[in-house]
Amino acid sequence: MKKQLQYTVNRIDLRGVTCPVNAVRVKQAVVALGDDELVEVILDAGESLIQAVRSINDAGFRIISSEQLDNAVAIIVGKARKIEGVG
Amino acid sequence: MSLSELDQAALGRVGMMRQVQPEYYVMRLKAVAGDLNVRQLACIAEVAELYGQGSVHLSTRQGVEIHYVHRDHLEKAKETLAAAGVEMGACGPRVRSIIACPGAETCRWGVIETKSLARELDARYFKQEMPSKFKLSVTGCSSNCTKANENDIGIRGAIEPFWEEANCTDCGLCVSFCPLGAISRRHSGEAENHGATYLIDEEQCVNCTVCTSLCPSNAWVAGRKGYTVFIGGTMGRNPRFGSVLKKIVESEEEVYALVDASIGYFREHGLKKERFGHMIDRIGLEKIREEIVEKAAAIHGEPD
Repeated sequence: MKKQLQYTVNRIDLRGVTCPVNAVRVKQAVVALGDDELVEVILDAGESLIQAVRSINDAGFRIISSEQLDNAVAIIVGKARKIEGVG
Repeated sequence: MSLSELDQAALGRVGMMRQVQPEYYVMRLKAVAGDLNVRQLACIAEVAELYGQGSVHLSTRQGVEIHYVHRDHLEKAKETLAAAGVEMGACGPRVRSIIACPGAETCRWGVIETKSLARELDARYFKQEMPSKFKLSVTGCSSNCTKANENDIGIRGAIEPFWEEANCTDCGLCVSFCPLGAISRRHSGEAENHGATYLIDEEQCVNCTVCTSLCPSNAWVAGRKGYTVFIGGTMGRNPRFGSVLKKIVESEEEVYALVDASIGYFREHGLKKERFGHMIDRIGLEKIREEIVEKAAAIHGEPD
């Protein structure tokens, strides 16, 4: 259910990185984004994903889409709460 | 009656258990929902220093035990504790201290106010005589920190998730993060983001709050909120997980009616030293569930 995005998408793979380090890495990546950039984050499924999503929501970042992989999930995250044309 | 005239069973009733060491006793103290204030803690420390060996043991039921109290000091120690508002716990075939997690007051996953519920259960049922030991637990959500289904009666906070289509951005994340895999996406429209429907399998759903807490667009909301009541859980020599008595109970009064009816049923049908869950297995869950729910409806004053 990945959407066609008009933005530059960076990618970080956090498989094997546990909480809270994965959430910190996501925050660092999102804060560093430019206005026309998004980041694709790959997280282990399960508790790791739950904790990271919680942190992303708490920080006010926007989750635009997600894709299930084998034992992992790729999510696309943006800095703004509202990004025109997506989500 | 002086202390010296009390037999072991009588001491047990007031939370004092004989140790392996002759003349020495364990003082089991009550801490409803695991809560004690600093004044009570200071008093417990003082009593442990004066009458015990200067240390305490934390029990699996969130209580405190003072070990190595000599028989001659039990009464004085009990009086000192009582003056600070520390009550004795329970042993033997009766309702034990009520345990609870912190619940909605402080926990972001919590659905119900566990502590006030535990205190009310304590006021209503603590130390009541039963055919066997009888444990109650209250836990705020399906994370089940205080293990509702390992107690004779367990009460667990629960929500029934509802999908608000208008809020959904079709990010699909809920399908991934639902711990039970109970959410699925059905795509019936022609284009992405149009015609997607998210469905929940009610049989698989454990009524936790992960979807309603984590959905980035608040598309999952709590449709109904309340308590799941479990009966017949026990650990120990012959473990048995609790069975669901009712999946969503929406009022606190109905919870008490269900507990009243369950306790009443156990008192009437339970054999001496038989745990509630083993009685359920002996008689049959469906029959018991039906009778308890019917009785509770009569107590509660509403048809089920």
